[in-house]
Amino acid sequence: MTHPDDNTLLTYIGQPFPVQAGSSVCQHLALCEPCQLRYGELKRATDLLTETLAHFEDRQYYPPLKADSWNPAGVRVALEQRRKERLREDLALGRALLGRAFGGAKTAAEPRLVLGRPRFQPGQKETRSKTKAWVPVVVFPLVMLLVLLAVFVVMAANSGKLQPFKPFISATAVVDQSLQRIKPHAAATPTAKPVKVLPVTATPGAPKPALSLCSIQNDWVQWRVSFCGTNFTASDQVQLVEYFVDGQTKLRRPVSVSAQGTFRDSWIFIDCKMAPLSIIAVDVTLNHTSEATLTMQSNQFLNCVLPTVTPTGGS
Amino acid sequence: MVMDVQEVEGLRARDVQAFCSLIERLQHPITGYLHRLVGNREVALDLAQDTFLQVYKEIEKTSPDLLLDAWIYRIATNYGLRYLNRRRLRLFVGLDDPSYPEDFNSSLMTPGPEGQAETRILVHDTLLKMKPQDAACLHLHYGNGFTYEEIGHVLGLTPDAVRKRVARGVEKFRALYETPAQTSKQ
Repeated sequence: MTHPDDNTLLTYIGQPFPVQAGSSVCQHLALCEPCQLRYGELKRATDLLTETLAHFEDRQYYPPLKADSWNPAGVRVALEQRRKERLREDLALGRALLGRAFGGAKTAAEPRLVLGRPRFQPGQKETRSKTKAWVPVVVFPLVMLLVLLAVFVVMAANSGKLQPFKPFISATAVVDQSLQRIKPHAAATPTAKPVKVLPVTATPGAPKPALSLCSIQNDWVQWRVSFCGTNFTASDQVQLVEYFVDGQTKLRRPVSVSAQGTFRDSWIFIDCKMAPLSIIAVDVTLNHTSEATLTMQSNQFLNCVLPTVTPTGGS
Repeated sequence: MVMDVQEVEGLRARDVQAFCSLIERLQHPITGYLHRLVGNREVALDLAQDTFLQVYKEIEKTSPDLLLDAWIYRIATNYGLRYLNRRRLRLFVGLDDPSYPEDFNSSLMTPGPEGQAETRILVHDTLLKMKPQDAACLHLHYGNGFTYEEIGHVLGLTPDAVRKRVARGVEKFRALYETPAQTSKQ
């Protein structure tokens, strides 16, 4: 037979056992010395418990609860009173728990919150380098400065008045956005030839003839350009010499000068090759040598890439 | 532990006489059980009063076939365990003194054979050091004479679980009891 466990032995000690099981346990106990020892240990413990607890119970006297209080009103009052007492106890306990929890955290966090104070305490050894002790003093203004700088940058970016600095943008990016739509053309990148300036023999004191761009229109199909001349001599023979962007072609167009000394000449072109680079109004009348020059600007023809040249006045 | 339907019916009807007889019958064992469990006489009296107040308040919610004594012991046990848990918290935060009141030990110092009083104090100290649930099992079994089935009704356990818990409790009691005894002998 296997050894009976503590549960069986305790049951056998504590209360009447079934005959069959009891007899088998008794037979085993009579033969097994370790089980006898174990049984003796458990019996001593239970006897001690039984005797001590019974002795304690016999010696106690408790005042009887008041019999007249067992009515609904009395019980309600007593329950309310006990509820308040328990609530007070719970509050005191909760307050003490909170105090213990936050008291511990406060003492731990205190040295971290005080910036600028040397990190060593009076009971501790002094730090080797005083520079290390002053690190918090230096770090604090630096952090504040960085924070202020960040706030300033954020505010400036949000306001839109200040543009963020872009140091690596190439000069081509400054060109008007509309010019970026222009397709590069092989023939549209000549170097501007210097315009031949003829000697001027205008009458002293008279206003100098001038040539100007009156109007320029673009409907994405063709260009309409008008040139106006002023201060020319009436009935003189004036020719407009137009140099094109390819630098090779030039065109002469005769214009008629009005009685007021002005003329207006319109010109239509549909190809960038025909875009005028510079126009010279030349008086070809005998004994007259006056002329006026007009140089076009690069941004006057939106769909054409024109070389940038400095405008020059004409006389 | 007998199921007395008439007594339960009288209590459910809020009969004062039924309550008086119930208190007369159970006040001493309940208070004694709580006294042994919590180790403080005044606290035990308070908890016993709380137990009977709770019985008065909740009896009408029970069924007529209630095992009255087991139910009342269960209320008392819950109050006792709750008090012990609170006491452990109060000790933790320093609101209570860790030593037990003098009356608990003085009540055990009754005249008798030499060394018996010391043994009783040691037994009670050992029981107070044990886990409250295990100690409650031992108190009910060896102090109040409840069977495993009755303890099962009180604690809401099966008799087999109570048997194991009692065996475990006795073993723990032996271990705790013999440790200081061996130390004092050395």
